[in-house]
Amino acid sequence: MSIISLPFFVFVAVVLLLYYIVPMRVRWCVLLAASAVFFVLNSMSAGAGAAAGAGAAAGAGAAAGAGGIAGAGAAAVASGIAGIAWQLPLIFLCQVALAYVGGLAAGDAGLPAGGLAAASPSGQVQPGGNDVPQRAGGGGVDASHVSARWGGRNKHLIVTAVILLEIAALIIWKENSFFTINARLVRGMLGLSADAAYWGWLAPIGMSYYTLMLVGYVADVAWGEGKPQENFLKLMLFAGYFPQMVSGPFTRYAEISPQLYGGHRFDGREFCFGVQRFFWGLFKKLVLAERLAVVVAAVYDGGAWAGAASGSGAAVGAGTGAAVGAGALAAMRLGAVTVYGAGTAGAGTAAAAGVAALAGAGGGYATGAAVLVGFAAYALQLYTDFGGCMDMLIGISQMFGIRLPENFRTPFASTSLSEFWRRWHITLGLWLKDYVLFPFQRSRFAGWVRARISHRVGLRLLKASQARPGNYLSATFVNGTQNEPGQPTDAARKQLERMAHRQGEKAGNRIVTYLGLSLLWFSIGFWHGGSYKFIFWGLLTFVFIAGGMLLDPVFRKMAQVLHVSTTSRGFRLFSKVRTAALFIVSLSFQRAQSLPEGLRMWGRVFGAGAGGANVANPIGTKLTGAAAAVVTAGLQGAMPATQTAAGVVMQGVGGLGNALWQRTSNMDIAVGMQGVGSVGNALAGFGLEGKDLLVLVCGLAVLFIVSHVQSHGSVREAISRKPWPLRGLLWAALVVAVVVFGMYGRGYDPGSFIYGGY
Amino acid sequence: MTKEAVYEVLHEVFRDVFDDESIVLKDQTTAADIDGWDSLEHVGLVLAIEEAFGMKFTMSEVRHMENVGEMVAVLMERGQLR
Repeated sequence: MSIISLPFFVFVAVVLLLYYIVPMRVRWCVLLAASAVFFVLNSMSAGAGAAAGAGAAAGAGAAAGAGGIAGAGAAAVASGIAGIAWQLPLIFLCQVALAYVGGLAAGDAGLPAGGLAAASPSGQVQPGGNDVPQRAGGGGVDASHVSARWGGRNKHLIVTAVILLEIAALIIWKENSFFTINARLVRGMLGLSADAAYWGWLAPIGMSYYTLMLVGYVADVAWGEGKPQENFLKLMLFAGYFPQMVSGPFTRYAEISPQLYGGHRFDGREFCFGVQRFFWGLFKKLVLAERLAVVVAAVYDGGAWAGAASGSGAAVGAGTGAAVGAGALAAMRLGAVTVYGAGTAGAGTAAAAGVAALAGAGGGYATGAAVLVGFAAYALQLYTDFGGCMDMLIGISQMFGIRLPENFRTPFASTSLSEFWRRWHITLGLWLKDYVLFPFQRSRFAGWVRARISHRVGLRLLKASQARPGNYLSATFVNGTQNEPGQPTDAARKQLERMAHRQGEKAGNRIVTYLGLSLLWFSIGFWHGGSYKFIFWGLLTFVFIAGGMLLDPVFRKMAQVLHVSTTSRGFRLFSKVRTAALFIVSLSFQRAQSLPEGLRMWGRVFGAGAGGANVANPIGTKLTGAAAAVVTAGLQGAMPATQTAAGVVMQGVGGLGNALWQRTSNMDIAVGMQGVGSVGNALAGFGLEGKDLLVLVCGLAVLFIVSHVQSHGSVREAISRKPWPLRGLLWAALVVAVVVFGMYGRGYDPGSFIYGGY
Repeated sequence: MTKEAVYEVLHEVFRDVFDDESIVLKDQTTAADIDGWDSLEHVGLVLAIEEAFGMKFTMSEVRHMENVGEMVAVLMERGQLR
């Protein structure tokens, strides 16, 4: 059941009605029942879709996207689906049961020794008999001496086993394409035929989200952050609360549970805010994301590109351009699939066919700046698709009085990539920080690494300073403090030792931090899907962030030498643009069909492997695949990308960037700079009509203006303080914009969200 | 431990970790007040404090202590001088 569909709207209305008429005490039961219905309906449509092919587009698309096998035909994917509907709720129930047992085992001495069987969800176990004050900081009671029978060791074992099983379930059902990919690689290397089949299993809706939430719950209980939930049904609601099932946000048990179980009085203001938030999300999704999807598909899904095939210059006339655009758009609408998978590929082919027929040119691949435009468009698509989805879901939840945590905080206003990631998909970052990064940094392994490094570095520094009294350690710390150089007193020698030790410790900490961060970014990549493109994307982000941290002193020095004020408006703007550019570069791989294809696209940016009749490129011809990507990555410092409000125009500046710019001016795509007026012909390749482009640009402008206002406080509250005619007009305008400019209708299904597939 | 003793050691640790001899701590001091005290440095800081006071924070303390006052309260209770 898509959340942008009439049945879903009716469903929410009925649930709301029930929620507010039953007694407060049992309101959570309504939510649980609704979540169960939602889950089963989704499992059914996923199962039925596999056979009928209608809903399969979404499911298969997700599988294809995650597995990076979008190239496979719809039929192949559909036939590969082994899971059927009833398995999905079963998997979910097993995972909740596992976490339930884990929570009880972790939380207290309530479990009899060796009583795992007795701890089945039948509810015979009565834990909490000998309550220990759990809030750490209060008594500082270490949870490990809870009982003699149930020692810390057993507890630790069970908690570890539960967490590993949960993660294993997620990997096996959700990321199993990774096994196939690697099997193929290994078979290829061994000279065998590389035809290992994809498993193509269906995973329960929201699995990537609720699994991590359950892991967090068990870990929290084990860390003494709260008591275990003794009511299995309540734990089920925590894991399966239906607004979160589509694509998060992640919640922590301690924070969300009082809201979930407590029930809420009807609050008209909250309710209206929820509805408003929902429509704002709908606007982002239907008006903006769906249009951006067309542009993105034109660039990413090979064969759909018209611009490159038309050769150099604007060979495609205005009329033809519009026709091509319309053709692509129509194909998209008919294709009934938004972004991923075979459906889109089909649409792409249809569009390509249309192009061939209309312009008399074959399909091709986007090259040069057009690819960069596609990358930027994808970043914006993701922002509007995922962000819009969040607005809708948080809005729905708010209608029930339940405030879900925010996942986005105007990320494009960030001045560094790490800040960007603290404001983009916030709850995933928090989860990984709490349950991957911190535990790693405090682990025994990290302690060992830290000790080794600090010992070695400390020793080396000490030796170096003794050998050469003039070096920086002794110069700074000995000469600076006392006596003549070269004649350190005892006190000075002691201080020297301390400084060396301290520097060593710092080095150890730094290494552990980098190790932890690389683990975190690997996890982020892998969480998105079992494919190397995701892992590469994650690790590339890590390289950017770690590089920024390592080079920070250099950058500061440079700013000093060049007399650049790092607090000036200009510099902040530069930082924002640089951050967005780095994000776009790393993200570009996420949407690619596969890692090699992503690298090839970067090659095409520089002209390598271009399909169409393109102007020869002295640099591009030398840059292929990985080399191009690496060079590009290295270039980012010197190549600030200028982003217009629409965010669709990028141009290279500086060293290699200059050559690039020379080249882009030859490209028909550079016309993107000339504004909306003359856009008709040159933008044909992107598959959008001029009219759609106008809507897109205006919509994005509205989005960024609202984001700007948002940074000063809640927009809805600001609007609610306005006189009612103005208020009404604004909200009416939003609804009308969604209805008139939204991309929806018969045969067109905007319902699948990109992050629904992860 | 007395509050004064905790503060004395804590000052030393903070100045060490953040390389800033001018740091002066108060109960209300938070991460936002000290340059470089972000979520990455937080664990490094916590480890340094643990070492200096010969104790271990719980995971939930690591996560929730965000001002110096809370830290000091825990340390007064469980910290010991080496």
